[in-house]
Amino acid sequence: MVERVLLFDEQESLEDREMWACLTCGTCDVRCPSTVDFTGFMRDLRQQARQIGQEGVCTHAEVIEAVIELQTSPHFRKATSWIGPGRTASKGKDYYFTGCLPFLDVIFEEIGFEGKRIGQSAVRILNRLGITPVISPEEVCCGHDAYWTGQTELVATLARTNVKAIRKAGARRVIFSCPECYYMFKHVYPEIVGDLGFEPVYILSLLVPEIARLKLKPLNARVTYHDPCRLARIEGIIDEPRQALKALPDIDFVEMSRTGKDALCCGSSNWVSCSRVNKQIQLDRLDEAASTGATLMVTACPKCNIHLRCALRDDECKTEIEIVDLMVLLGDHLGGGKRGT
Amino acid sequence: MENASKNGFRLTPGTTVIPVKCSGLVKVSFLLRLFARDIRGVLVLGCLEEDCRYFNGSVRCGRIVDETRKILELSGIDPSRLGFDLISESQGKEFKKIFTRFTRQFSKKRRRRVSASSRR
Repeated sequence: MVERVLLFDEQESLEDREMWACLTCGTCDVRCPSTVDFTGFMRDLRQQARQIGQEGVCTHAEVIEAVIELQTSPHFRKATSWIGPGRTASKGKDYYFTGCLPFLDVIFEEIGFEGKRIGQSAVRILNRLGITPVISPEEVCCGHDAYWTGQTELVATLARTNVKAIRKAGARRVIFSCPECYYMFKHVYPEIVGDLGFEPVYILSLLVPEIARLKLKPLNARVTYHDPCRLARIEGIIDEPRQALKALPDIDFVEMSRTGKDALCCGSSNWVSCSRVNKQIQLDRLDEAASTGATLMVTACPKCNIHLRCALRDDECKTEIEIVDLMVLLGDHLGGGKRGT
Repeated sequence: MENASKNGFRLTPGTTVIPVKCSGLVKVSFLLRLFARDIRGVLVLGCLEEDCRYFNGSVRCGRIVDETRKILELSGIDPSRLGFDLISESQGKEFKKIFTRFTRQFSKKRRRRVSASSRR
């Protein structure tokens, strides 16, 4: 790809569909001895391709792109009632960013993905830590996928809307359970809006030091953990999820052969490619998880959850393993509370 | 629609008809993008299930409309702004009834309306 851009016609390079096949997983960046920012190169290339009218390669019949576009409508107001019985507020210093979770539920209902439960569990966990988070109907998609597919204007619109909504709520700290949303707020938003006026915080950095307060119930199962690209390779949050899992009494935690920054990607990113190659990566990862003898594969990213869940239903998949989100697992094992809170 | 026109039916001003080969080809993304462009309402009309020439076009369309309505609801947009009905080519009067019933909800505010239809 790099060679083609350097040696051949620019227009031809930008029209090449191969550029949309990159997973932007960051493995190249981590392994490169010369610290070449290959994912950044791919992102810039996609930006230029968009500028000459290329529309990229969209999966899922463009529905996710359309949902993002819908969120730029002035009449858009995100539903918040789905967040469940946990305590939430409309104003306060702590804000919980729900992202696209409820929408993903509708789109991936067939594969049994339950995004709403991730948000509900996160709120219950935060409540247990003494935090009543703000949930705002004015927030929109974080723009992660638009960012990695070169849609700069759309990202800027989404970023400004989100920052305005969070500032309006009076929040000083924004808590994320989605690694992609966290990445956007931490690294991309400051480039667009300057000083955010609040601090982006990943939920595990609040949870892990106070994990004893959750009084977790025992989990008698062999469990492995899949590192999401944005969390492990980019943010370096590798130990925290493991510490949270090991806090579950009776858990038999096992590692896969490729973990942390060397972990295999879930096979697809930014909803731009879903070919046999992507599927094979997912099947390989599932095999790797099953070879540990684990019956449960935990991940912290909703998209890894979706992609691996989808691969489980593939005709060529011989693996049997349950995939669960870290927040949902912890939320289901909260102990000692009143009425499950 | 042609059948209804013969009986004196006229489209309300501001309505656009988008013919498609089969209602099963209408995509969720297409419908959502119409709402993203602030279209007041979208009425999707397809053939009766038993008349479907492509095996399950109308059933598929029903699922697509259901999914779109769920997304609209989560977005704070009234899902009744997306109408869906299955009618036969010969049901001119029925077409008029469905269309009038659907557009009545927008009569107070005169805005653009779109009708996506697999019927000519």
